[in-house]
Amino acid sequence: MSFLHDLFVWFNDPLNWQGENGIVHRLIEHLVLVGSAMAISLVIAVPLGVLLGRSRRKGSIAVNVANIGRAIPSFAVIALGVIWLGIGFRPALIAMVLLAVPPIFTLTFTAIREVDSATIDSARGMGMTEATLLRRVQLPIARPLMLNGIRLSSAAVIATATLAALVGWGGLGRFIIDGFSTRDFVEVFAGVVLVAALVLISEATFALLARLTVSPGLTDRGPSRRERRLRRSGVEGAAAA
Amino acid sequence: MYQRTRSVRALALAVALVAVLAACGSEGSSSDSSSTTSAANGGTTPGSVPTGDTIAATMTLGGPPECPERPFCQVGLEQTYGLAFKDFKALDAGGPLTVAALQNGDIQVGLLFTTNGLIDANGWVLLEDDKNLQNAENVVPVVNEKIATEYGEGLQKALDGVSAKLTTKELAALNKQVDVDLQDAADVAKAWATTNDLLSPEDSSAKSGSPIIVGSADFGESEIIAEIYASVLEANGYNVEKKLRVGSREIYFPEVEQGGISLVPEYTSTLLTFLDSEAKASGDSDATYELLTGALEGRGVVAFAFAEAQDKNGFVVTKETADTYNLTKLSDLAKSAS
Amino acid sequence: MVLPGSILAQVDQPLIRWPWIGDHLALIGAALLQHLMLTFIAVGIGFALSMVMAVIAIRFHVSYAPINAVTGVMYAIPSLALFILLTPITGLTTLTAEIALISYTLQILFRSIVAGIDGVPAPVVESARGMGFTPSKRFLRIELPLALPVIISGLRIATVTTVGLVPIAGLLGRDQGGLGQLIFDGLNRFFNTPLLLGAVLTVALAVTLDLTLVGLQRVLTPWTRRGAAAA
Repeated sequence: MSFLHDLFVWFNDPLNWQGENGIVHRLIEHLVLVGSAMAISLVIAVPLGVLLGRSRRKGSIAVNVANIGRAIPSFAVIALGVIWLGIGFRPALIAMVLLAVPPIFTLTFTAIREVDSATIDSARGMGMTEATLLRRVQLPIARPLMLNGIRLSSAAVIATATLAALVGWGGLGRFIIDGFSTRDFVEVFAGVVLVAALVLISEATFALLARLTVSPGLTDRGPSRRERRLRRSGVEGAAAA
Repeated sequence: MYQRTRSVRALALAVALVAVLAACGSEGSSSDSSSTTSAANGGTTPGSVPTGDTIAATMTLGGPPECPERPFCQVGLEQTYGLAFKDFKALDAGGPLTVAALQNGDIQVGLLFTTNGLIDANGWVLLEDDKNLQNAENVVPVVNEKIATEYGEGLQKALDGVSAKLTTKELAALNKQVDVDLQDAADVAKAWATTNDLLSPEDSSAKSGSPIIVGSADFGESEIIAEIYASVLEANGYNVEKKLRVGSREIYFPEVEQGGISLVPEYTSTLLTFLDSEAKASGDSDATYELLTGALEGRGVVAFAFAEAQDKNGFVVTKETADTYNLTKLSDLAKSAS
Repeated sequence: MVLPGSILAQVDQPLIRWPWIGDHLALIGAALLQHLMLTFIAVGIGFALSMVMAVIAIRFHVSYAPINAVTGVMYAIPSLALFILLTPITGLTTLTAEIALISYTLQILFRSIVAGIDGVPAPVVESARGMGFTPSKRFLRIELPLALPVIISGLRIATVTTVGLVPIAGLLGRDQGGLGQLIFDGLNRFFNTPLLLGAVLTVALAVTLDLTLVGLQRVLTPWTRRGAAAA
């Protein structure tokens, strides 16, 4: 268990926390990349998913495109980005956005589309405008699934952002690459622990968010059909790193 | 029935999270013993270096990730030249990341190899090593002892033939063909070996025995030299395999010791200090080589004859930076910035 | 096509040097083949292991949580680190690459197989039992086929993920990583042509294999299409 001991020593060493190569700085870099990628992805994917989810016809093509989008390997995108954008932050950002958009889009789209048409009809019958319908009915019902999509994207981006270290950006991937260069596997593992901790924090945050924001009218309905169908279609596995 | 497993998973996640937090939290409680030593270390390093308002203190140094621990890199710059840089940026071993970072101004001083063709191609300034931090860095093939013994003199003769022909100037030319003209390392190597009459040995009969796995470090020049070794050995009838571009010395050297790689091009002083950080490498090629063969003893690795060709760590600045601060040599960086 | 302002402008080079591709067809073919081999072996072995684990998890329900947790942890390790952390044990070998790639497929495949079989309606299983199917026959003839759509969707994700991870194995040396060899060569020299080619072929390979599996699913499970058409 001396490896674990070494790991504790590594985390205990204040020098590993300070400076350009310190945990604090690398963590901030990582969060900047993840945060920017997620923000851009949300701005792209959520309105698009809502819009297409409401117009019942055109959507399926978009979902197919998004599914193909899930097949695009992040490292290849980063490499392509280097050609036009140079090394560093920007190619990594683009790859992370491409990684994050499909799950958010697909789940938002599905969530909006699967709102029971009888529910929508009765809302319309109550005289709701389209905007009110969206805000008061469709979005609250769709929210848990949408959050799930964002959660999946977030976890995938946090883990995959380590690849940015291969093209000269910082972030937690640096510990992995730098540790490899100096055959310091304790440092590599420390990088893994930090990434895993970030993923866990992200998961916990979304679990909490889901619990806090779920509409009280929906709580007794249980996970049921919709969730199982989605699990069956393999949406959960989208968190590829 | 799998609903329950979800809560089990959540529990497992929670346990893991607690463990991680405990690891971080324990920093406060148990750091008393270790922090004293660390603080002492942290205290002496900046103290021994005049930070002040030197030119270096305004600049970011870029180099391979292992640079801050290397005597001929950041450590040597601090101890020999008294240079403390504002920051260090981990990039690559004299490769494209360092080149790009210099071009973009992300770093002001970059570690490139002195034979790098891109220094001239970009009109950059290689700062003179006026305090002789860098030592003799002759190119030398180091070979796994089992392979060396198995094939004996024939193998040594073939590789010594390469060393006898390889000069610094030619090495720079080879690098340029690959890095600037974008030719294939294998083609460039073969062409050079042909020109130097190394591919038509007297005895080209097929040799039976273990395959000879030619390795290289993860930078262009190492790959070119390895390709030269490989093509010459192939021409001599050896069964050659390649294991090129395998990371840093920390990664590939143990492979040479264990036989996963049979042979790799090396640089005398750098390898010597890698094996023995106390060793007194110097500018004297022969003396350094003597020390290296001594340091290799008992490691299952032998060094064959070294070449005249040398490639040292060079610290490079752009033309603009050089003009702005009037820089020609490394000690200029210790001058006052104002 | 020259790239103005690009950092690659150190040597004004076109986006693609077509002659280079012509001269290196053998290398490109070998890289592509290696990429396919690494992917197929990883997904194949991963699938076999996952199937065994899934059968165990279905037979002994208690084992589901621990298997899921272990595969989940493997899946959570950043791919970059997995290749590296294995090197002290298995060296810079194809074995290292394969272990890392396989461990990445387990979580996806295991869960999709279990979910697929779990999703087979109970009445169907009951009537099979009533018709005198033995448990193993029931599994092979009833449950597995009905679970196929879910299993194949898991296979799609596992395959696509693996195709995307193979290039990273190039960290272990230039003889690894399939098309990653071209990508790393391009990155190392800022040479657009192999970089672009490696990345584009990787993307194309992922999309092609994904679409192939979609086609496979259509062929193997015609009833899902009929159902979809009716709905």
